[in-house]
Amino acid sequence: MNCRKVKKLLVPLLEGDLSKKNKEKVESHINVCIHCQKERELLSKSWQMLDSYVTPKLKDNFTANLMQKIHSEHAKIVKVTYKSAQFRFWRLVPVLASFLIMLFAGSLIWKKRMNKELISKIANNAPQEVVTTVKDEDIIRDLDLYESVDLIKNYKLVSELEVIENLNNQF
Amino acid sequence: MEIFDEDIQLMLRFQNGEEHCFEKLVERHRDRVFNITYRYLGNYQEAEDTAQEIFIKIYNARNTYKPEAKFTTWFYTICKNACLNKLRNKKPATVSIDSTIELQENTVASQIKDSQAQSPLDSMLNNEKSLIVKKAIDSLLPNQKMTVILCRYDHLSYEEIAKVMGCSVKAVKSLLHRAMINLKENLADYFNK
Repeated sequence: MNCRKVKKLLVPLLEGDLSKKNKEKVESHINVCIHCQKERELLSKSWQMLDSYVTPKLKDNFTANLMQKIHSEHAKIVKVTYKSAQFRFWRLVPVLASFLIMLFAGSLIWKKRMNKELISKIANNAPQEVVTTVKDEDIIRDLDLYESVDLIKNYKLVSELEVIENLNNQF
Repeated sequence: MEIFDEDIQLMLRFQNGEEHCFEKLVERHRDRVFNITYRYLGNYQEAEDTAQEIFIKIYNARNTYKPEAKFTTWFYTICKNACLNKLRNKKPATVSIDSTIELQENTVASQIKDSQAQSPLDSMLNNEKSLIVKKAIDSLLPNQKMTVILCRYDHLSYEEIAKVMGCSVKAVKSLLHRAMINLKENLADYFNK
């Protein structure tokens, strides 16, 4: 085995990830090659040196802060949802108002147009007889009333005349 | 990983409306999540914010979790995605001086707290080593960095890493191989001193 091949197998050797056959071959090469020996030593040392990486201690109030943050974020989400719902409602108000105004105006125009149509329809197509009859009836009724009123007005005179006539008849 | 069996139970109870189970989950995994985010992003504030985002995502995605899926895979996938997104949205010109000072302060403080027997010289050397490793890890490509973190610090198997990263086991081995070579080159100066 040459140095180039051994260098490629040094990491698996340190990780214990080599077959028994390859391990023997690599180790027998390292025993005779100072350069590869040094390479393995450096790799091994640098890998072991990672142990000396000390991380700082986390603050004691980490959990308390975290729980507070979670609850405040949850409350914020609820508030935002409520606010957005409110905003959506108020944004719809002018739309709804304009829709209602348009509906009202439309209904007025429609009603007016319908009345016009109805009047013109009556004027053009309705039978004259009925109208006349109605008019006649009205006239007759009015005349009757008029006569009745005349009768009432002259009731005294009529009754006196009747009395005179009755007297004449008696004599 | 046996500890995750209990997590499945907690997650199922949380799905059924027991909110205190989520708090338990946070308590169990807060350090694990923070370590991943810190090693990945290299900045305390960003790491803390991202850790919070991860737990909020878990909280909101509680109904999408199914017990058939392994909790580790689901959990680490959320962590990986959050970290990658954060790194993607990160401004290219970030001030690293503050974070370095912060790291030094925090590291020294935690080291003193953890091992009272350490001499100030040892502490200083360890701090220096920690900074060098941090720099070396920061210089890795995003996928290489995540693979190294999951493999080296969280001790996930190749199969688990492949599931989390959404690639084949062969691709994971390749990523790890390149990461190790890069780390060796980045740390060579320190060893050659």
